[in-house]
Amino acid sequence: MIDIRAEHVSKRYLLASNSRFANRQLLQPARHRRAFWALRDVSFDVRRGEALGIVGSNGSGKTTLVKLLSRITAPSEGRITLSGRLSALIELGAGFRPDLTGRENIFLNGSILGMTHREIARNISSIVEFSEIYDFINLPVKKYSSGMFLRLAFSIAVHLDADILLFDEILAVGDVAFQARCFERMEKLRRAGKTVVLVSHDLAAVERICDRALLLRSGEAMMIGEPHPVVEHYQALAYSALADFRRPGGPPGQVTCTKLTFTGPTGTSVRTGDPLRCCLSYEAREPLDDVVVTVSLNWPSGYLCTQLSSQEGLRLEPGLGEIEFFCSILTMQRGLYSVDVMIERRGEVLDSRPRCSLLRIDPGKIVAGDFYLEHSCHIRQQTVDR
Amino acid sequence: MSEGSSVASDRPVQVICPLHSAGDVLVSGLRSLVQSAGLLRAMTVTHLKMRYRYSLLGWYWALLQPFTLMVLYTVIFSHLVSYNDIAPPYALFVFAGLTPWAFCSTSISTSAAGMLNHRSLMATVYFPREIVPISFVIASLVDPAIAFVVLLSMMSYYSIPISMTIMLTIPIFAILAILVTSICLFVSSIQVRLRDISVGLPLVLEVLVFTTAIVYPASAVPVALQSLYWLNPFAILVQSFREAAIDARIPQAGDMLYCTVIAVVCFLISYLVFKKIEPTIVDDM
Repeated sequence: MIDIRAEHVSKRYLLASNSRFANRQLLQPARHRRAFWALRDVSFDVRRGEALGIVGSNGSGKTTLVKLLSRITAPSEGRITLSGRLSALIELGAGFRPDLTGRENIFLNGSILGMTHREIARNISSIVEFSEIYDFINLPVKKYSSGMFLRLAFSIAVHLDADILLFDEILAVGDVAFQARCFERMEKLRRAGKTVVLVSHDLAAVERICDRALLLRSGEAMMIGEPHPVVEHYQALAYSALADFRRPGGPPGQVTCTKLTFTGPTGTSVRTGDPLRCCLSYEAREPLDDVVVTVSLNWPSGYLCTQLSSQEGLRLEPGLGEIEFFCSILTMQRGLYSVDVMIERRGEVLDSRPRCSLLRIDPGKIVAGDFYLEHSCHIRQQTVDR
Repeated sequence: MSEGSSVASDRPVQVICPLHSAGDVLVSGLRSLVQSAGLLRAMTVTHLKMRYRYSLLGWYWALLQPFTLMVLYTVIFSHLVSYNDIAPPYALFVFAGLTPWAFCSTSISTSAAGMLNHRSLMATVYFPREIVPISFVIASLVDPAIAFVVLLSMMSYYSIPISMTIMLTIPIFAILAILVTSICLFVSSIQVRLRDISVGLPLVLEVLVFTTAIVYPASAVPVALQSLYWLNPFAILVQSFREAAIDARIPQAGDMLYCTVIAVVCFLISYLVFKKIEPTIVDDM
């Protein structure tokens, strides 16, 4: 049984071809306008009870596809057939009116999302309870903290009785507890046999929740299948786009980085709690003293997570060489980290490669929090004489 | 895609594709509109709740607005232009004209602006987009309802008998509502692409108020222009409303038929235009 069928779906946006018409699009005939294809000939099926993950870089057409599936905008070509009621959660709380109270917003937002007045009235106490807003429910939502706002919106969304659910990046907002509840809810929906479409940059979540994944690239469906290979493929693509070692990092200098590899105990898969080996290949053109090499690992958000550093000055001989970093226990959490490499000598940058590689860490020792703390646990019991 | 598997049909199936025929658009559009009655209700209630929230006078504004205009027009026209010779007192005459007119101008101006105010909502959730302008029209019905109460009290003040023909104002208002809805649908869909509408609209409304016999009696229209003047359905409806409400006169069947036909045709055309633009309306917002 197929719940969603997309057949040769394309979406074209017409853009004004010159600035004279930029503000007066209508006045320029369509054939003179520049066409931009946000989606091109995308076909796929989603079976009942299946979860499909949609991955791809920014601008690959994920959001456009979601907008087509949820009927926010119509396809330019092709057709989409849906079986059952579809609810799309694209931006939580988008329909909230700041001046209305929480309770009033529940009624408004619920009906926007397709609930009947009776359904809302029946569920209202449950919605309020789930959102944990309690006494604030009769205050205007403009007085809410962003967390309360989000919880209320999510709570309404959770009470939707749809057959097909579409989630677009809603995991990206909210704190860890909120995300955990989202996951829990999604698992529950899956068990209830709902069809789920999940658009996310959280690739680990896609692998965990989805049965299949669709990779979009520049508006085209590049790959569809088991989530793991699709995600791997996407990461390899992202890696090749990022890991540009040929790009000169400044004037051709005394030393150049040529290659960076990360290896775990069983090959290229790196997991939390396992040892990690990082190898940086370089080519030096003259002997160099006092060299400091740093490999920075950045969170997906771009902030520095941690660094590997050679600390004291190294001496590099002319020719090819390798610098190896070894971590006995990798404490970083699962995720995709971007990597910067920098070779310095006494404050002078010899070679700098920002975002030159990606490090993917798979779930290993799973702990909550920002990092894994190596530990052991013993029990000491006192025996009591009877 | 395998040949054997097909889209499951045990649940309502919807097909999203670029083109429909006019008949399909009308049928499916009206059906989804009926299905979204709950949303229409919620949005209308929201507009009403939002309108005077945090204002000191609150719903008294709904009384104050037509009342102020009535006083203004009475002062200007009865003293400067001197329409004192006509049968009903001028203040009552103006107020009876302003009651349907306030409904027209409020619905048209709020629904045109409302479309753009709901931009972020439309970009994230699908619902039949015509609900936005229609909900503004329904919310605007509250003003004439309040004004009507004022009208009745004014009539008793001037000791004018309230006749049964006052019941006829309801069908007259229904025709007016269809006509206004069609204008709102048209204006709000065009407005998304041509923002000129929001600038030019107050001007157009101003022109309409003076080409409709609201502040002056229809008899003041030059004889040469009379036939042209009565082509305007607004003029007919406002005049009929006033006659039914305060003059105890039954409107002519021919006039009502003419207005109904115009209103329904306008509604169908503007609904189709709206539905034609609707699928990609978000792209232009």
